[in-house]
Amino acid sequence: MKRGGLKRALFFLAAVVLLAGFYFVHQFRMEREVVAFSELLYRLRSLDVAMDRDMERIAAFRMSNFDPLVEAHKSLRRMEQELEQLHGHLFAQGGGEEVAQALARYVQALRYKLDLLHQMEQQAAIVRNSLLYLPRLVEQLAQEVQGEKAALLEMLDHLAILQLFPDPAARKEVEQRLQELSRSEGTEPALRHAQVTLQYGDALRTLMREFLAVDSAQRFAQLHERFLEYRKQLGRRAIFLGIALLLLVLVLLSWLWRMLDKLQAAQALAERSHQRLGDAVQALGEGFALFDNRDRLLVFNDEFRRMYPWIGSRLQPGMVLAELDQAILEQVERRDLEGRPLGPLDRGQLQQISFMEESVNGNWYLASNRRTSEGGVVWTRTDITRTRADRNELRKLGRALEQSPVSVVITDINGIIEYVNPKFEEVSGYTAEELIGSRPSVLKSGEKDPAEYAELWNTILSGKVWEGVFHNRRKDGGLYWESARIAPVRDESGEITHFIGVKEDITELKRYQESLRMSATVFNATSEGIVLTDALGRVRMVNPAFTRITGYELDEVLDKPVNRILGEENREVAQRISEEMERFENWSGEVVSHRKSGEWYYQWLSMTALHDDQGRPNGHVIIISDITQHKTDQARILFQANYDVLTGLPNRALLSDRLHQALRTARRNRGGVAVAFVDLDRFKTINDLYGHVTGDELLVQVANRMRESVRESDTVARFGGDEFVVVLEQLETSEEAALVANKIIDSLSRPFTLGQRRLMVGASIGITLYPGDVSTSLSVEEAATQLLSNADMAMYQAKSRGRNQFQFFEQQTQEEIRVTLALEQDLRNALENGEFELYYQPILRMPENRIESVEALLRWNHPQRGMISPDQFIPLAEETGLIYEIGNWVIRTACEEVKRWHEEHQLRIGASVNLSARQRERGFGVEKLRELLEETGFPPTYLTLEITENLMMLESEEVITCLHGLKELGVGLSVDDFGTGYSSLSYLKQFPVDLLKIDRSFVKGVPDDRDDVSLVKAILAMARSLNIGVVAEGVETEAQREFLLALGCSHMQGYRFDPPLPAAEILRKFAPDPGVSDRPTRSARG
Amino acid sequence: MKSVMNSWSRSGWWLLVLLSALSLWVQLVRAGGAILPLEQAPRQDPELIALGKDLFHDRRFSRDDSISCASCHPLERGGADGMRFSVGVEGRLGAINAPTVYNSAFHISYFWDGRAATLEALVLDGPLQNPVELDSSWEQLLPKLRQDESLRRRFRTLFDDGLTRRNVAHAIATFLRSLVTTESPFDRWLAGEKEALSAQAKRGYRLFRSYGCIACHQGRNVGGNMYATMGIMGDYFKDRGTEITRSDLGRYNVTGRESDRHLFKVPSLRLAALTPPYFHDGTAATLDEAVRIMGRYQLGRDIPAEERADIVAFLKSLVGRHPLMEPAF
Repeated sequence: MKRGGLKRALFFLAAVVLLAGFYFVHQFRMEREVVAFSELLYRLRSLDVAMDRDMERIAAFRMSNFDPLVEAHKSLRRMEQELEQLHGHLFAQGGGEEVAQALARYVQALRYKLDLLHQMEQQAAIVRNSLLYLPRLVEQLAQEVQGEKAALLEMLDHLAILQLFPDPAARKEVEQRLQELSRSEGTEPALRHAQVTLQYGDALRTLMREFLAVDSAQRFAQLHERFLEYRKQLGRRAIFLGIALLLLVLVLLSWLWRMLDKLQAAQALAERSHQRLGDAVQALGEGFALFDNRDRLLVFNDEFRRMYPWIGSRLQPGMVLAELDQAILEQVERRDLEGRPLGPLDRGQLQQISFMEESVNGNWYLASNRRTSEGGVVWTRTDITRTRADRNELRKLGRALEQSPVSVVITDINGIIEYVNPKFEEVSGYTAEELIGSRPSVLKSGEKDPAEYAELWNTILSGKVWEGVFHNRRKDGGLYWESARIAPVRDESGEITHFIGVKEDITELKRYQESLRMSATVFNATSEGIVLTDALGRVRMVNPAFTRITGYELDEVLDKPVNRILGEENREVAQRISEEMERFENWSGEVVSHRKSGEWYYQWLSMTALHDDQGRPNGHVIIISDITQHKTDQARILFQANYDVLTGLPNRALLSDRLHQALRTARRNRGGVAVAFVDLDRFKTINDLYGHVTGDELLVQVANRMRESVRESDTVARFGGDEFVVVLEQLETSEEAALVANKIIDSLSRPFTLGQRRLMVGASIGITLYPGDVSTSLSVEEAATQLLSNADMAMYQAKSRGRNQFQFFEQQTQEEIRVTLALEQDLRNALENGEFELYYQPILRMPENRIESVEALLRWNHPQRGMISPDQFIPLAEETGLIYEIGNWVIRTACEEVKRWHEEHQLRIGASVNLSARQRERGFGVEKLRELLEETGFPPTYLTLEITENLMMLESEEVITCLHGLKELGVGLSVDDFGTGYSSLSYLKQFPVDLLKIDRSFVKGVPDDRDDVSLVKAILAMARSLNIGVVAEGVETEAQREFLLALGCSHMQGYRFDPPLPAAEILRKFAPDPGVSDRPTRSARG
Repeated sequence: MKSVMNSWSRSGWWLLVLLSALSLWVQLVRAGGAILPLEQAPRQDPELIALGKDLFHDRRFSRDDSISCASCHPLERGGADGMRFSVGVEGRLGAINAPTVYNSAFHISYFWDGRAATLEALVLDGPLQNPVELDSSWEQLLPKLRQDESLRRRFRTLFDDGLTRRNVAHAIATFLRSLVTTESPFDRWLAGEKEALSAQAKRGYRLFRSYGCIACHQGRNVGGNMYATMGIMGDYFKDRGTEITRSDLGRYNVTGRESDRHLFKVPSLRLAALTPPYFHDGTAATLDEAVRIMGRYQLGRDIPAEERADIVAFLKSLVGRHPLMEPAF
């Protein structure tokens, strides 16, 4: 009530002050505006007066410039604007409208006057213009109109006077004079101007009268009067307001005085109540503090001060709650009633909460803050230090019991359970509620002797401690083992009041022992060696298998670093193992170690890190198995799969792998690879000749030499039989390959010593290059196949060019070779298939034209290609060696056929057969011929062997011997194609030759070509001197026959007589001939 | 006594009359104080003047941003474009000759018919809205100007209420009021500099007075402070031979008073020498022609050629200087 009153008083006071302030401001402003308006009125009036003055001056033509009027115009305008601004406030009060109206009328009058002035100035200007001009005009006219000058001048004077002092009489006089003057000549312009002055002067005066008629002064007086009236009115109003304000202030002051009086009385009352409260508070046993609704400390007792001694003199009435709170907190920690730490309290909590306080000196206070009805707070503090300490002690013991890992049961003297701890509940499966009130015998499994129970009771009732083992049954029926210790509890007087049983479940322990025993059995029985180490890798335990494998007993290795026993010898491997172990905590793989005996062995080793319960590494378990036997088996299998058993060289499979690998590397590094195909030249012969054992031995030596001829990185593989393949890697130029090929050829050309024998073999080598010879777009596998085929082909070329050579693979000849190879294959089959046929060309005795013998000519009737000329297939047959077989076939067939003619058709003619040098090389010799002759039964004297000149020039000694041998068999010899070689006469003499056959190329030239003619002549002469017969081959024309005949050529052969004919044709043509002689054809020798 | 008094007062009266008449003549002939020298305009805030100047040259004032105030009132050429009628937006031709903007501060009102009382009123409602001039409106112009942040800033620093039409008008009017040409040869002569005026100009001045021109062309601006009827001593419009346009009606268009027909604001002759052609309809191409026409219709006389030349020389001496104007002679 007191407070509300004060507020109201203050409010009123403020209102009054505000009102007064507003009043004064209003008054002040009003006053200022009134002053401004007065000033304006004065300026308006001044303008009015100035305009009056200007009017006078205009009317008297004394205003020479009208700028002042412009100024007047502008200042009136300005004042109007100012008035506009004042208007709103000033005349808003009652009575203001009248002033405003009067003002408007006055301003209107002023405007009107100004407008009139402007009009006057126009008239005046015109008059002035004429008046200014007239004297000059008169002056000019006077010269023209002499007599009237005086009159004109006089008229001017009158005009001037009239303008200044207009009155009707003067006007009349001026008009009369003008009238008079108008009669004179030449005065017209002057008179017109004079008229203008009169006319506009009149207008000017009319305006002047109008101007003077404006009642501006009167209007101003009216305005002024109204304004004064209005001012008075404003003044009166101001005074009234002032008095009202004063009265209000007086009323308020008296009311304020009364209020203060009341306040004082109330304060005294409050003081007394405060005193009483203080006394009451002081008497309290608890600490006590009271705060008012603004949180100021009102009262507290000594107990409160005693509880917080550190606050000291700061604890004073008026202290703010928050401040006191801070001061208390300096040495106090707050906890809630549960004892948990309590965070800072906000204002609301400080007013309404219960909690505990723990001071640094160990005192505990129960604190209770409560709000009072007036909005203040009362704090009470109770010292609970002692009670709390006791309770804590008990709680600790209880806690220990609750947390105990062993079962605890308390019974009374009769064995009735009073307490079981949670562990007991857990172990037995019964809850505390079920157990309390019953006896521990509910747990009996019945497996214990009652006597034992009796002994138990005796012991504990006599005050001693019993210890033993129970085999109990859980609530769920499960059995378990417990070791127990039961002790009596005595009260102060020494009387036994309770028993305490402490029991431990040992079931797990028993089970654990069992499992340990089983593990040990496995440990000992397993065939894998097991090692356990500690964290530092020292051996803690090994099993018997370990000892079996390594040879070490436990006591030899105990506490030794395990890697010294099982460690990998290779340092890098060992390093990798320990790294992987660190990273993955286990490792398994092959390790090479040595046994106690020093013997190396392979083991498969698995190692796993062990950890203790906290996950810290505390050792390793290592399991080893001996895989030495397994390893050696594996190596052998691997070798057999990839290597040629005889030579130890890689076999085709490994070659293929190596080649693929080489190509991949080359592809990656853009390097080169060469593949060389090596074929031994005479291996087959040696094999046939000396048997496989020797052949195999030779191959081993060849392999060794080849291995020595190449770099270690290159591969020498046995491709099959006597074929080898060399793969040269990281090749930069083809020259390198050539170098290696030469090296191989050289090394293989040296004689081999096999037992007692020294043998010569050569080698032909085909080389192909990667990437040159195959498309790089091929896969590695395709490229490898292609390369091998290329090399093979190149090898064939090398062989065809002669032995002991190497040949690079050439793309363009590939096709030719393919064809040749196909032909070669066909050729091999041709003999078997009977595709060969012999044609016979007669050789005639001259000049009788009598058939004396036939030359057997081979024809090949190819099933697909038809007749193939000998020129095409004979070289191939020579190359492949087939010539031997074919040659034998020709001799045999010719002999058989001609013999049949002898016997069946009485056609006794000779047969000549071509003998090739290769045939001889391939083994055709005296023996073979004898064999053939005996086989066919053909008389040797009818057989002539045609040999080429070249043959004779080759291996001369050997050939000569051979030819003599043949000759001795009785066959004749002729030299074929004579003249094409370089046989000299002496040379020819060494050979047992019966006949020369002049080559068809010379015969063709006779009788026209002089060279040919002289050559043929020379041959014939030579033959004659040596007593050798001559056959001219290829005689085609009669001229040739005659010419040759004339020269004494004894035998001729050619199309002039007969082409080569099948046997049947020969018979048809020559057999019935009665003139056929029985004599052999070799009569030509004669 | 009474008669003595009477006779004295009568003779005194006559004496007074005569003295007055004499003084009138003297005053008339001397025409003293009819033309006053121009004085520098009162100093204004230079920022405000600069703003007004920029606005005066701002093409955004026209509807299509093609022309500004300065297009028809080029300051470097005497404040008028020298055309008979000026060309507005899209090449539209005006109906009346554009006067100079120099020395406009001293005019009684603006436009030939005086329809604008102040320069602010002229800017607020004048060429801006005229379809043959800028053909725009405040509604069009203000948004355009307000897009210009720097312009807005200038207005904010100068005015509490920023960029408003009133403030635009005030800025331009203030700038126009600063356009006062001072130190003309004639003004210097008035100030006592005897050599400032040539003999011919002096002769011209004497003629200017004695022909009565000075009755209307007086004040600081040698005109511009009153209205006068075109053709006191002859019918100019009849003789002109072309149809009478609305512009020819002059102040009648504003007041509707019959007496105001053909009443025009007397043009200032201060820069007449620089701003041909002349008269509201721009018919006189040269000063000489203008003087001739004035003599003919305001005086009823043909002023001889040599005298016209003298008067022209005098008129040229009225041209003063201003920094924005090229030096005249």
